Amino acid sequence: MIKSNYLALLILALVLAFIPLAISNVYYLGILIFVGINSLITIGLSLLMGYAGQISLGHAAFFGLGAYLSGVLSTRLAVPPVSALLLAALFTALVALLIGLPTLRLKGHYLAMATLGFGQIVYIVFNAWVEMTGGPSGFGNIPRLRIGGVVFDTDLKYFYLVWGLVVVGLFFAVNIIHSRVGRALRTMHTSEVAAGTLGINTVRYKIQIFVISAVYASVAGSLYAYFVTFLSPGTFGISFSILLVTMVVFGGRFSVWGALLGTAVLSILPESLRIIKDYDVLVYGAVLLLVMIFFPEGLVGLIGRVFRPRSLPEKLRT
Amino acid sequence: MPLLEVINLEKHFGGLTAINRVTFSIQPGQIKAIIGPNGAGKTTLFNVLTGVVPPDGGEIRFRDGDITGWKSHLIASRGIARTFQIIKIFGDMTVLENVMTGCHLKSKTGLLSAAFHLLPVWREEREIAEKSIRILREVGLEDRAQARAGNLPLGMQRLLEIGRALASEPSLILLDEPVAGLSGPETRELAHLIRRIRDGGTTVLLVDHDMSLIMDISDEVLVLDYGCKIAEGSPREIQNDEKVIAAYLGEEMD
Amino acid sequence: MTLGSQILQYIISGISIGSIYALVALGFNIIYNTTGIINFAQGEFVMLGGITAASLVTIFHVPILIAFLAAVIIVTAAGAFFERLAIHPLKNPSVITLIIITIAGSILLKGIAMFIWGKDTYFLPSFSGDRPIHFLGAAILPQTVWILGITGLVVILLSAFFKFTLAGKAMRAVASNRMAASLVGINVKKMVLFSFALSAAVGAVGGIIIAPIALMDYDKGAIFALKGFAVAALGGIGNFGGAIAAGLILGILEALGAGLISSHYKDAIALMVLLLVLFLKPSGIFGSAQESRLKKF
Repeated sequence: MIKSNYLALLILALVLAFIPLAISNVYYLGILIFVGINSLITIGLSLLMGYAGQISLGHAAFFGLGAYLSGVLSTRLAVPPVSALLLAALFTALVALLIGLPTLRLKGHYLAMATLGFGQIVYIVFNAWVEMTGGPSGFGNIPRLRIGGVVFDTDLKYFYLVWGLVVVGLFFAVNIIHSRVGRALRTMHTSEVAAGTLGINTVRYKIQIFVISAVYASVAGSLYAYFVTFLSPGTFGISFSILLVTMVVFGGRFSVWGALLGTAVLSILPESLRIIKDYDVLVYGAVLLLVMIFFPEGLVGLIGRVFRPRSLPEKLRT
Repeated sequence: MPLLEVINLEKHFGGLTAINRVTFSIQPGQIKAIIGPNGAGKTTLFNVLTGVVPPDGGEIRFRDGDITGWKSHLIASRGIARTFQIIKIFGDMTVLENVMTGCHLKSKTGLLSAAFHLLPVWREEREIAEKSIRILREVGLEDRAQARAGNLPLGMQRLLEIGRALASEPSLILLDEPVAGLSGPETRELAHLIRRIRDGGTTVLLVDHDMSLIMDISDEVLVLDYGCKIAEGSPREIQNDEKVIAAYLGEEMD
Repeated sequence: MTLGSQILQYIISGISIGSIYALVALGFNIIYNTTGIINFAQGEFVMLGGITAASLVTIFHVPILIAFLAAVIIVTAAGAFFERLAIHPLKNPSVITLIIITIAGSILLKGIAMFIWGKDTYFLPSFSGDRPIHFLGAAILPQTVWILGITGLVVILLSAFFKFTLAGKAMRAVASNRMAASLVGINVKKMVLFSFALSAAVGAVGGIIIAPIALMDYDKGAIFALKGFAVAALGGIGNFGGAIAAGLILGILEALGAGLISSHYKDAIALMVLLLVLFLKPSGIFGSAQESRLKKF
């Protein structure tokens, strides 16, 4: 299992390495960078949704914390970007821990509600704390990311940086899923009672996965800040949180590869189809509803059915 | 010194008393059976002992420590494993993965080391897999290791659940109706397995309705009726106990 | 204006906005009690009610009373339609599935509203003019009286419905024990449909009576849902009396906070309360603390 995932990762890395050679238009390269940034968030979110069986409606806020903390630290306090990124990730992890500790002990909707409320609070703070964030009009002049002597000032360099981190993020996620921790998480699909009697502390793993997924979002936020060099609150509202959930569900929430696929399709399609851009809310709502009712395993599940007819129900096989 | 001591244990559901001040103990190396008519509180007792539901009164001592009211994963980590009357295997995992999940307590890879998948993690995974194969051989499921657990027939699922429980290397294993739904030959196989488990150093507490099995393999039998202990003793003593006969005559004639 | 009358003014406006939150929370509770679902689309019913009534009155010049009834009927139908489309087809859904489904429903309703009404803001004139009534130095808008009166009426009608009608009793039976209810011949699936329709109707009423004070647009649903949920959580999920008390408390807190501290953080107050309740006392301050209930949620 883990070996086929490594093979897929290798193929992905090779394809990614050659993509910039095939794309001459800088505009498309820019879109792919955003796809990479979003993918980093959704990979973490799919760990939470597909494996820990929980949902966060506040991942845009963790993304925003990463972005604003990096931006503010680098511009106002002249913290080097990499240190700022790490500090932001650490802070976001602590915040996620504070939210997860009380709510993940309880069953059901609590985390969803807490993250929804938290996300909205963060959004309000971004708007209202004008001295620090520039308020609704935002703030700019965020320096470029610099690692050692390398400044990531072109789209080409940034493409390799972002997608390199996506590959690393996928590598971590795949390893977690195929480990002792991953097995412990998968027990929750069937029986938390049985898991408990085997000594598995499911609450602890749920909290850990929630924190990790927030860190993925925070790192993505920092990358976003150093790429666009300008931040305003509009990017980090509830609707982006819900779009992230839609990407994960659409691609297939039981697989990190689904997150990647869903993110790619839902990030690229609106760029090419004007109608999706104009009626985005309507389209996303319909997509989410149809996927949940008719193919809850998402695109990945659908593709799996086409290529592996063995997994079809008995009656459809002959 | 007893391995497990239960003192005046109580459990109520609303107005219903499921366990009524039950006291008993298990010596290490025993096979002890709990019998009683349907609704006597046997499964509830198992649920309380393994922390699935908290007790309402009394005390549970295990290996000389108080575990009353502990969460189930903590009780498991002290060395009590169990199976379920209504099977709770992880149906969407393979047979091997089920047993590997049972090794949770005896392995230690955490989230961060799992993410990096370095050499020690890789080594531990291999050890767990090898140990799980050994356990599957012990319960007779080795050739089904890669099958999807949910696709196994019932008898094999019961064996798998026992194997998964054994993987945590418990000092006490609780078997809830292990032969329910099994055929005659399968039941005899299982009786051998239970003896082998005991001979391997694990104390066994089981609940079942199969009297010939119970009388055959148990060292001691405890009888519950309406949540109360009505008798305790050797299989021979129990068979001749008037209260037991009365309780069973009211319930079932076989 | 003295500080005292100023505070009175805040409290009055807090009570009127709090009534709306209470109505949204009642909507949450109606569905939760029958189905165990937290319906994330609850706020969209409020938005739909307000925007439908406003456009009927301002564009088609329909009299307010008829617009009121028409909007309630339309939104009730939307609630029933939503249940048939999204909830009814599910077999044994997990909590996470239900969350995603109701969120999908909320985006879809919002998208449909955007399709019909665009991104414009709609305004519903007050039911009976805007000349304020003076009371102890505070000015009370006539709409405030309408809000309090209609909210009170809805609460009375709802309790009568649950106490005296067969359908209401059946819904209570389903709420207390689904299995037993179906054994005595109550059609549980039908009760689920009723609960969505009823809670859509309650939400719509809230949206219509608040529309003259708060402008309506397609994007207004989420914030009503969040605050309504904060109120429901504060009052104890499923607890009707708790929802009303918590609605008034939160409305007043919010109005006082906005007036005396900072209006920037006005919307954050209810959300902070929500987080505090979830963290410290998830059964709510009026919660019956019934563990079993809590677990289902």
